[in-house]
Amino acid sequence: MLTLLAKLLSALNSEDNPAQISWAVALAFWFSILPLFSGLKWILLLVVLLFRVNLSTFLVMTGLFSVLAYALDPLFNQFGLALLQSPSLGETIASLMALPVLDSLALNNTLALSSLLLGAVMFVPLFFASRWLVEKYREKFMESFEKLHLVKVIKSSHFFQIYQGLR
Amino acid sequence: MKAIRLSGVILLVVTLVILGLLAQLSINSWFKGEVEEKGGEVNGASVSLASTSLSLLKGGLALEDLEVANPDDLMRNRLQVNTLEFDVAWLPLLQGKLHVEQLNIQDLILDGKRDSAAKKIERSITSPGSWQWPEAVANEAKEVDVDAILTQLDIQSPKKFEAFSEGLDSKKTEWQTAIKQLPDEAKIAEYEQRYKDIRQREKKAKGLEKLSVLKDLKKLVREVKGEKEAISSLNKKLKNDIKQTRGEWSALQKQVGKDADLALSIASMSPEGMRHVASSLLGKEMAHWLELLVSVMSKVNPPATEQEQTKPSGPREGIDVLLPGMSKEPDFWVQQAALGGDFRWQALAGRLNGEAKNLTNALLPGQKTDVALSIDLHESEGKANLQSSIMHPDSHKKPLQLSFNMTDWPIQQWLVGGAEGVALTDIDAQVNLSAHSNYNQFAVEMDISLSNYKVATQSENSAKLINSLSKLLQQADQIEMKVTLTGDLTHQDVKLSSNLDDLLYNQVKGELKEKSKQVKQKVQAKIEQQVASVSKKIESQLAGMVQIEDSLSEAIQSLDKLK
Repeated sequence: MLTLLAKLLSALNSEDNPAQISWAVALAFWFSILPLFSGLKWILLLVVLLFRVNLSTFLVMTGLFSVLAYALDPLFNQFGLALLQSPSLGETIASLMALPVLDSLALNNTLALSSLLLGAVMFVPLFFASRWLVEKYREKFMESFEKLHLVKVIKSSHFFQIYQGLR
Repeated sequence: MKAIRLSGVILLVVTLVILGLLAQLSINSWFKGEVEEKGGEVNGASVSLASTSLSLLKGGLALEDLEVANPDDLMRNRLQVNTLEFDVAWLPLLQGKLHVEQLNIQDLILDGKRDSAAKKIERSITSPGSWQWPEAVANEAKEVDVDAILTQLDIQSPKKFEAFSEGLDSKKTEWQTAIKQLPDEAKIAEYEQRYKDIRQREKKAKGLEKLSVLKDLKKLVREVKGEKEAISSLNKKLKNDIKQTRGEWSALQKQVGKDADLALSIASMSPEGMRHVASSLLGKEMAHWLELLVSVMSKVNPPATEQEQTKPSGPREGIDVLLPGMSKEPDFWVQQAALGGDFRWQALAGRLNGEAKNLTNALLPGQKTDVALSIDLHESEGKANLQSSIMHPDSHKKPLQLSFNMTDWPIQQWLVGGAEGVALTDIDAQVNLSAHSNYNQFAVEMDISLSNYKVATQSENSAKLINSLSKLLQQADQIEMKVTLTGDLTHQDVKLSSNLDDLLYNQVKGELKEKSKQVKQKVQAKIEQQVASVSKKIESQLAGMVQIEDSLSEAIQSLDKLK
């Protein structure tokens, strides 16, 4: 965990493209809120592995968003149930699910549907918001952040030393 | 900057390889352990698996050499399968649903010998609706339930007793009307007084006055004679009526005995009686297959009518909502199955071919569950075919249909009538079985024809009946039997008819003879209990009638005194 945090810090403080970190945040959010049985979750994992997305950020954010997803489970269910019980949307989803690939999305499941929609809606705003935050951080807070005691402790840790050595 | 990360591809491949290796090492042993442990608990004896192999890419699992031991004979296997391959759909598995896209079964051995004795395991899963046939049904049939017999009968005694009692009432009214026309006590007393007066006048009369007195006396005697004749005639009628009524009453009382006899004759023809025959004469093997059939039918339940859940079954699982045109996916679903290869059952060997579609634990609307199986024996012309189709109850009136036929099927030995009964050997069997069910009720019809058999009694000290059965079977060219099994989940009726019907009937009578006396007494006591109050009323009515007769006799005596 400490190593992951160190990697996240390193990514934030490095010259890495802020877009890679932002993609990781947006994808981590979508990935975390989707249930295991939604095919989209595994497609997102494939995307993360194949494309240049910051893996450390993705892993740390997945951990954080997963806790959030657990806590928001009842809300996801309520939202999904309301959508699925509306007659017009219900019919549309039923016809979508009749298609061979889309049935793996389990759209008739309250959690799978609500998390897919929420993830899709939040994907672009999260990408831009996190990119803006990374840029702002690098511009204004990076220097003072690095002076924090906690950051110094992490940077001096054995794992971080090894990680730096490997780079 | 390249968008695609080479390291990611490598990472993905490495991850998959590691996962595959881990799965091969852990899942195989885990799955083998699960199948052996859980399977053994369900089966009641060892279930063993030589090896398993998992293919992650195909999502397939192959089981080699699956052996399911027979808990009743630990040196034999109920079932042995050489190879069992199935391709599992992974996404439903993550929702706790086992959806097998393709199942292949290669080589099937039924009732094969084991190299070493299996281990007996305490069964942890029992079926509450399990139908223990023939023992339980036979025991039930042996216990003759008097009340059950009486409910099946149109018992005549109480009705006839009531009618008889009403008849007596109307007869009494008729008598009373007739008696009213007769002189009452006051009238008789008046006659006596007039008689005394005339006698007094006669003593005092002289000359012509005597003639007038005699004239009055003559008139009185004529009047009394008329009255006496009327009374005597009614008295005679009454005596006849009473005699006739007593006769009828005595005959009616015998009705209780007749009813008891009728009850017994019906008991011997009752389904319970016939079931008993079926259990003792058909043999345990046949009974076992019938039991299995009934048990399978009772376990196929239509899907629940409640279509939507309102609460998720667990965290991060959500709620599956049934949208228009969708049906609930079952937890267990084998979409396609194929069965092939060698077949062995005891001494029989042959080729096996079969396929099945949509084997599920809950029926899918619009999708049929089909099973087709055929066996061709190597060393004879023997063939067996099984066809079954199960549909959702909404789509068909008889959604469960099954047909099974065997032609020229060699049966090595069939024991009839238990361990000390008759053994039929080297039989050629023809069997036609058809079954259908609408889930609430089912009906199974089975025609069995046995020919070219040899007959031998199992014991020299066999009962007379068994010896005569043996002779009859030797004389008969073939045995033809028709078994009909109907009922629902709580009650089943077995009807058996064959060209040996008379013999079977005698067997039933023999079975019930020992108890017949006792049962008859019980039945009689029950009927007597039912007619007791009417019987008491009739007795008192009869006593009343005798009283009337007595009073008429008294009246006649009084009139006689006037002479």
